[in-house]
Amino acid sequence: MESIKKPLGVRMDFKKRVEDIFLYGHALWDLAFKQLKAKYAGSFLGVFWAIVNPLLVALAITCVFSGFSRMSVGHYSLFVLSGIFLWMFFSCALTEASSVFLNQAAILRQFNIPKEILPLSSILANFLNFMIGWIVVLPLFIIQHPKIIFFLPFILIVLLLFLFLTWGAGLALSVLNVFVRDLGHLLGVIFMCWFWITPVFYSLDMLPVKFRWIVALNPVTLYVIDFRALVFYGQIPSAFSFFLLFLLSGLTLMLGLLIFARFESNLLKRI
Amino acid sequence: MPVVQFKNVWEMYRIKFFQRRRTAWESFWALKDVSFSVEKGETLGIIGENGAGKSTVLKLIAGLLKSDRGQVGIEGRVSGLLELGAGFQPELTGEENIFLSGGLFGLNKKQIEERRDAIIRFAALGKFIHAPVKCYSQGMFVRLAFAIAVHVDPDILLIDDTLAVGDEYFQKKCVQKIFELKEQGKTILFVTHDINLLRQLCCRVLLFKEGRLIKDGPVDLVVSAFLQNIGEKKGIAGLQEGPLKIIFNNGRLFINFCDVLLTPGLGAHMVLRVDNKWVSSQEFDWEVASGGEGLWVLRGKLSSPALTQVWKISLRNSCIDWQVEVEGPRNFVVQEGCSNIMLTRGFTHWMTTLEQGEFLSQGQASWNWQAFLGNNIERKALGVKAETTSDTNLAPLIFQQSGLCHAQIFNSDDFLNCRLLQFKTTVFNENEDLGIVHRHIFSGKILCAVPEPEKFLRQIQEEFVLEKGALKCVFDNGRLMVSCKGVTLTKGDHASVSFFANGRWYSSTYAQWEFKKESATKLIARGFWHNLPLSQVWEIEILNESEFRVKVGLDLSQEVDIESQGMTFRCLSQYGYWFTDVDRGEFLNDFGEVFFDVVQRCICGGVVGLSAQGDSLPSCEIKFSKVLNNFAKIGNSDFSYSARELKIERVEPEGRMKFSRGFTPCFELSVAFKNEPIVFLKMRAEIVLDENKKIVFDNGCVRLFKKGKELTKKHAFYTSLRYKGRWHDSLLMAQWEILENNARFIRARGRWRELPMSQIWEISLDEQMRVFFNVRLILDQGLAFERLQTNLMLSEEYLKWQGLGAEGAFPDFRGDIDDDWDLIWTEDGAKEKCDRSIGVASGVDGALPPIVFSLDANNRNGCLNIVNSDLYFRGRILQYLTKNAAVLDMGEHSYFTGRIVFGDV
Repeated sequence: MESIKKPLGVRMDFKKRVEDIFLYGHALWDLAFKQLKAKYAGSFLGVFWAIVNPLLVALAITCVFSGFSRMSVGHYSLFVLSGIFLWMFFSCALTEASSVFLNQAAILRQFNIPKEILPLSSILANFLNFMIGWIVVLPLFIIQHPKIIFFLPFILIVLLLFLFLTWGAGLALSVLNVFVRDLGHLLGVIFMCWFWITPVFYSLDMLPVKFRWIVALNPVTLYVIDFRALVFYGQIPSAFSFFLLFLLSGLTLMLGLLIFARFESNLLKRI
Repeated sequence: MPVVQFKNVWEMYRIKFFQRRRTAWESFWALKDVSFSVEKGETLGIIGENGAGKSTVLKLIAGLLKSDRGQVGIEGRVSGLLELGAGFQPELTGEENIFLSGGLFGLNKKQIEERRDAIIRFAALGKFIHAPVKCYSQGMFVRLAFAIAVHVDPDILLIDDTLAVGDEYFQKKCVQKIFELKEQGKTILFVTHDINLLRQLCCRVLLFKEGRLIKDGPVDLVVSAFLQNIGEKKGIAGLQEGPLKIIFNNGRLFINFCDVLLTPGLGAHMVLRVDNKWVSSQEFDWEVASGGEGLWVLRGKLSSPALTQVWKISLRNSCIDWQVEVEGPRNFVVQEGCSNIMLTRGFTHWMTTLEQGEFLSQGQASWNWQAFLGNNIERKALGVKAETTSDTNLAPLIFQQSGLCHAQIFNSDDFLNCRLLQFKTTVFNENEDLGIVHRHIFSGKILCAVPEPEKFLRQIQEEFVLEKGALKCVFDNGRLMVSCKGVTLTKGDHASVSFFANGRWYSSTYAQWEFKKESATKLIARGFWHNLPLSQVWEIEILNESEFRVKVGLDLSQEVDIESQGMTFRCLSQYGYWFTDVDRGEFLNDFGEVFFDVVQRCICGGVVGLSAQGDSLPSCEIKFSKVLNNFAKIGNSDFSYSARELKIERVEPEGRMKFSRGFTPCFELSVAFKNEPIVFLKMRAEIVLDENKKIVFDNGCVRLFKKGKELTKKHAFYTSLRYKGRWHDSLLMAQWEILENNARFIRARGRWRELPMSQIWEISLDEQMRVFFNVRLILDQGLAFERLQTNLMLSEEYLKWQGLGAEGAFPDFRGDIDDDWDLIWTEDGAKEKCDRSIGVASGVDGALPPIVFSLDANNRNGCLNIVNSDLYFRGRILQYLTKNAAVLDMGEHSYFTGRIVFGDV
């Protein structure tokens, strides 16, 4: 019977998925904004926390670690800032995405929507949060290296690629967390360790050579290094490293989608 | 073209069970091999127990779940209410949630903007629409959710039993909206436990049980199947006999015939009023006490009030025997009990043993139920049937209730959409104060598929009806209904007997009766009161086509004190005239508010009767026996009955009230009907004083009128004599005759029936327009009177009196009916023989003229009294009294001379 279409939940083709996301674009933005609003609802500083929070972390790190660095204190805090924004976006987005189905079960039980818009909305909300904070601190970097104004397209490309990486990881984590609830509890520890092996408050050359491979294996390292090269050192990364980023983001997104598609049909029964 | 199609759909849940430290994953099939399809525009109901798979079906249709096996096909946009939470974000306001939900239903911003106002209007939340939804009540939640769901233009609307949360008004609004969407050709599927809603909204219903679709068909068929399966299992029992199937389900009895549910809704159930609260049998906690083999005993318990109901249901020969026994603790009183039977709209005609009628085809839109048969009329049996031409084949039903009850028939409102048959029993709890365990039994029969219900009802009637020619006597549990030529002459409680024993009144209408027809014209009935060691026996026999005889006696098993007994015939108010063997008169007074108003009393043994103007009603004549010490009263009942009453009484003299064991005959009456009306003699005469004022001699009293308003009351001017402890009044107890009457003069003679005496009254006007009375007493033999009185009873509106050097105000009336009258003022000592007068001042607001009542000097020694009557008469009395009158010799005596002046004093 041709007239009867398969219901939304069982599709595998990715083109249709993207179309559906656009179809529900309005709801996606609504959800993202809602999460952003909810994040700061009732707080005194409100959206300023998007800036204040990373600044405070950077300040703390500076206080503790500036002694280990050969850089001046001001210089070092800028160095940390160039990494901490990215990292905080990454960890917050993934933490929220991983629990989004559990928190928003009510929506799943009531509406037949492309399910990926829920983790996507968490990631988008955090990306917006990141952008707000980042745009405010950007002038500090421009003062240091005025030429980075011209690097903005490269910066955007890196950020977009990083967004895709987060998206892929977020999709996978969001469904996996429903089926293996232990994941949610582990995530705190994982992100802590992950933070240590990500060159946020140090650079690769500060490390002893024999430990560098650990950090190099971490995919986030590449994004942080390239991003920092652009905004802190005012250098354009090599084309090869861009290619690597493309590859990494693409693969992660594919993998995330595959895992997501594999588990999404049983999602409602397990919430 | 189907818009929803399920093809062999299986749906599995994996559920983790935690049991005694062991956890196990088990597969659970929520749906098993479900196939059905829904056409565009259909409204489909889904019912089933909790966990039957109803919601899973909706979730599959909504696309939230995917089938594990089989195929689900959906065409069009689906929206609906699948969850109470409705997917709202608690932090967001109602309005923001409209946008979010709209988006999640797949609308874009512009489409939502267009619908926003309509949604807000429909939800009608007032300013709460701007508050975070976490502040909403559940009802408000559902309002908003439903408003959104129906406004997103779904092709298929799903509703999952959430409407129940809303208030009645909102539910109605939702139902209206659903009808609207139905009109627009939308497909609607809804899950509900509300059978009435289901019957109202859809034609087709799916019934699920344990994941399987077990019934798919028209609403009545599926609902009847459903009702057999829901509820707590322990409170369900069923009986079957051929095509007739009855199901007891937790306080409700459902009757199926040929798979058609005849009693929808609550079926047959019992409602009790205990301590002024109504409790329904379905609120009880039921279990099957014993049963099988055509008989079930079911026990229901209620914790507050602590009651137990035991239902005994049996089925034999298409007859359902339904007996309910209610038992409670100390001090419990069942005030009323109603056996209610809900019937489908398919029944179009109702009938009783005496009446027949048709139900209105359309119900009323209002919430008021429409009664077809009034209250207060005892009916033995009721039947309903469907018009033979209607397409559904409904078996006729007949309901019979034993015991005293009123049957009523209602059409329910549109919402329940059914007929209601109600047997209402008022229970009088005689032992209330004794604190013993009480039982009440209500029992009835329901006969199914009676081939000719009208004939059957006639047969029932024949069991207690005596008929010969035009005369018909219906014995109806302690009441005797008499009709002649098809006109029922009695009304209200018809003819019944009451007696005063052991300090309280007992009525034959509250006894338990057993009766037997000895022949076509003779019936013997025996009634029992559960707390009296006696039974009452009635023997009713039709003698010929215009006469019957009633004998009433008491059969005592031990000695009982019985003070008085009375048999009352309540007859139609069209009877305007009464007569006795010596006297006759017209009923003048209107019906009073509370009391029986005596018009005439009769001596032992004789005849009383009623007659109507023209030949509209046959005149009725009751002969009562002197042997049994019977005497009679004629009177008007109170307003609520509005009947002419003939009371045959038997008063036991003091010291002889003890009735000994064995049978004592109490009444023997023969009642005859004659077609020729009794000629009525006018016993009234008038003197007109001027255009405003007149006096009227009225059968032993004289009334004063001004401008049409009576200044006197009840007995007015009358004489009263006490002989051997009994008062003999000039009215009611004497037979009057007007000897002479002209414009200024009346002469009348009254003969006392019980005393050998008569009075001659001369009433005249003197030149000053005063009304002069001259009353003479003529004795046929010497009599020793104790007191002689002449009274003027005046309206209660008179508040002050004055005269004889004293004055005062009338106090309020005191005392009960028949209490002693209240002496307000009395003349002290004997006065010289002189004219004396006493007067009353004007009444309230000076509306009544003053009256002066004067006594001539030549009256005997006596004194004037001012008296308030009891609460029954409510009259102000000016009284002239002679105490300790000596023996009066045979011959003529002057009794009273005096004057009345009224109006302009």
